[in-house]
Amino acid sequence: MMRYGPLVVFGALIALLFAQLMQPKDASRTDASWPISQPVPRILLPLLPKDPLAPSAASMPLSFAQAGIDQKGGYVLNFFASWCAPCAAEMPLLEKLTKEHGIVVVGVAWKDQPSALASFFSKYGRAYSQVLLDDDGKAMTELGATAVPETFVVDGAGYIRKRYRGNLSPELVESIAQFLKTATPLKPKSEAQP
Amino acid sequence: MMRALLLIGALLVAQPVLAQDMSSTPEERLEHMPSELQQDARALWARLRCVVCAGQSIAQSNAPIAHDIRLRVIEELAQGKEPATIEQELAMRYGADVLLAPPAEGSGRFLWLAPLLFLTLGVAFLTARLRKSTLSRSDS
Repeated sequence: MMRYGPLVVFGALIALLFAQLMQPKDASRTDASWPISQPVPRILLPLLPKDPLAPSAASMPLSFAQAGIDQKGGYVLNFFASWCAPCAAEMPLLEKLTKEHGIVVVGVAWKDQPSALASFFSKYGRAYSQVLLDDDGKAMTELGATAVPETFVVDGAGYIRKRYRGNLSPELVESIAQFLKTATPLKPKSEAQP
Repeated sequence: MMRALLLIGALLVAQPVLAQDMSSTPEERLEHMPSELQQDARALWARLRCVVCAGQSIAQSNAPIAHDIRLRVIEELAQGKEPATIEQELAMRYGADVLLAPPAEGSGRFLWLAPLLFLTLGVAFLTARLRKSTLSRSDS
């Protein structure tokens, strides 16, 4: 029996580790669950003017909701940067969301410069109704994002319902449009409104 | 007139300081904080994993997101949040993997106890083998 002792122990260890791997992660700790069903964070970010090169480019910080968003229909929050190639690649898809499906897309420029953003928009277009500037990554870290592009879908009650890392695909765009058209907003809590 | 000139002068002096604060690195901002807060921040930075790196803490990483999380740590400590709360909230946002030391609860308990468990099993096994070989030698 002792001959097989180490083998038995090793086998039991493998079985235990495999069982742990197969278990779903604790929902309160996995990054897959955050920030789904959370209200949009109450973060104030500077708004990029329509003309990014205007002399008074800095403006009053706004929250996501204050940045001219139609809360009843929900909206899409897209983190991007002018130095991000996949962000440029997905701009036509974001334009599809706005032009074909009438969905508001709010851009959050991460670690960017107004002059670089102006150049980016003139090359690739601008699907965003508003662009907020997240130079210090406050919104990025609050939402648990790690890189750009990253897209969040916000329902009519201001709750984040979906999250997509990396650039969007045509299928995802259709899925987002469908979702916003049909989803029932989560029940607003008193502290939910930004 | 004198007051207006003094005010303008004060603003001119303040402007570069303000500008510096807005564009300074987390390390530079930390230098202007109380020493206790600096200690807490550096300790936290060393305990948090860079979420886009392989095994580096945010203290070691140059990644933009590591920079942002370092800033977040400073700001939240300055607001009076406890380091444990800051860790918990980051773990909620980025997963338990953001903590370089696994949590001592749930499945993390196994990681902490495993070395002791294996050591105990190993010692028990060796003891049993030694005893067996001693017994067989004394028999012969």
